Amino acid sequence: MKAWFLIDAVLLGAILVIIWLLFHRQRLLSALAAFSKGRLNRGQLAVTWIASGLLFLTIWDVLSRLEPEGINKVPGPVQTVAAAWRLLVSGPLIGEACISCLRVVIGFTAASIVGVGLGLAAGSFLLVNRLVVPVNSFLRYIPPTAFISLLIVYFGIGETYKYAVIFLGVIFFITQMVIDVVEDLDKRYLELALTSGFSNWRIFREVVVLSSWPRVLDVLRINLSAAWTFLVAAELIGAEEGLGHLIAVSQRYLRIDELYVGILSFGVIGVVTDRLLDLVGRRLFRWHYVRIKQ
Amino acid sequence: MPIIELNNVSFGYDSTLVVRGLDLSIDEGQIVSIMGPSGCGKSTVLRLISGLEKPTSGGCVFAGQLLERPSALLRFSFQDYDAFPWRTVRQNLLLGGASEKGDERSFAVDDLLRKIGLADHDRKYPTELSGGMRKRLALGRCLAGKPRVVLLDEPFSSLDADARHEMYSLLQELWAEWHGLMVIVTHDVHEAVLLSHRILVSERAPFRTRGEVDVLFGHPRDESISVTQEYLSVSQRIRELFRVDAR
Repeated sequence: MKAWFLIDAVLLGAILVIIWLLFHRQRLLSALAAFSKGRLNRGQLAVTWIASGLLFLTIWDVLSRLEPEGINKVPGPVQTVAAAWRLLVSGPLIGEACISCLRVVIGFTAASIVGVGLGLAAGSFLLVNRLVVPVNSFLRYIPPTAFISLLIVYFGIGETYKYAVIFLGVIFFITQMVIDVVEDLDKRYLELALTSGFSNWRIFREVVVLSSWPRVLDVLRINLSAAWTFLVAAELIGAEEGLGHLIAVSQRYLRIDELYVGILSFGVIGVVTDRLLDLVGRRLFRWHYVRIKQ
Repeated sequence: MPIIELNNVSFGYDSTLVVRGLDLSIDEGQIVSIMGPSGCGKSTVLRLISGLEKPTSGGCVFAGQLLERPSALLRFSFQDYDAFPWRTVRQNLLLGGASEKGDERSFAVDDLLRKIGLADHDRKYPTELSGGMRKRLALGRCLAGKPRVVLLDEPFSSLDADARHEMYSLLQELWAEWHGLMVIVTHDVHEAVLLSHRILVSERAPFRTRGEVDVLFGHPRDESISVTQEYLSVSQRIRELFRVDAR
């Protein structure tokens, strides 16, 4: 036990020393993160990612060995990775993850199409705004999980119910956030369009929609993480497949290491999808990222 | 017949009067500069001419008709933003050329790209261009589709001296070929004399024409005119109009 603590302490110390050696010359340690981020080169960025991961794993390892009274066994990173490997090779992890992903894709895509469309229209046209905003604001304040019982009554506990929970969980937020994006639009571009002789419809297509896309994508990235939250809420009740179901079963049979694997899988899927959306955004909206860089 | 007429135009925000009883008449085929002390309402006059602002009283007439809303025939180049950043250089020029169709529009844009020296940068986004290139794009965008009037609000204020001189030549070349009406708001006496046929000087706010000066040099003009007697007397006259305020 003591040997492990020693290893963790050395690891922690090594990480801090590496960070110090890399950054102290550039006075970045004391600088605000927002200002110093752009000054890191690729190597330094990679080091910060690795250091951040190692820091998390080390702290987790230390906590797992403390064994506080009254708390069930906390599996360390090594045990959890072993359980993940077991579930990957012979167990249901990939299958359950695919089912969960499919549910999120369907529920979230439907909410995105409706929410972005409504948000763009309500942000641009006064009449739509007056019709949509009051209702949307009201519905946004109802906790989406409060709809679960109602949805079970209507759809049972089949797939439609899970899509509906995700849909209702994010649609009101997507709509409001897209309205905010449109309202934030630099009005000078509207004037540029007016003096170029654009009609109202052309201003909507050419200025509102095209200029909003990069930030709409950010809205979708933020809400995608919320969609996963609502998926788990839906899967914990009456699901027979999916990561939420894996978590529920692991809890029932006290397979704590598998419970950890289920929970951490969301983090892995989240990071991968977020990076993918970021890459897609940088490819599609080069003009936006060039502007940010300047 | 004048293409722009402002008849007893007044304009204000809340309780502040920005333009007071302005009468102005401008003919086609010339370059006119509007000058005056900072905050006197020069840019507001330009916005009134473009139809972006509606007068509180009086009327703005464009080509014999009361101006109700902005038109593609009255192009505006704003001080800090010159093109749609989400469109490439070529697309920005295509968006401006509303009066031509299909291939004709594409040829006109090719021609314009060559004239403004951005033929090799047509696939770039405006944010990928230098300050001088962006100003050239702004001029090109204004002239795409051959409008009747181009309004430029302090078009070269952000450029260094070399880039400015380049822009003065380009503007004169483009104007000579197009021959429409250009109205420029500027602070720079040299710029006004070098480019304009007619210079209007305003009082302090609210905007009201204090006097105007005609510049009789032929176009194109270059820096060599700045040593002539005519240039010196015109510049002197403008400075005197400014000085009335300072007293």
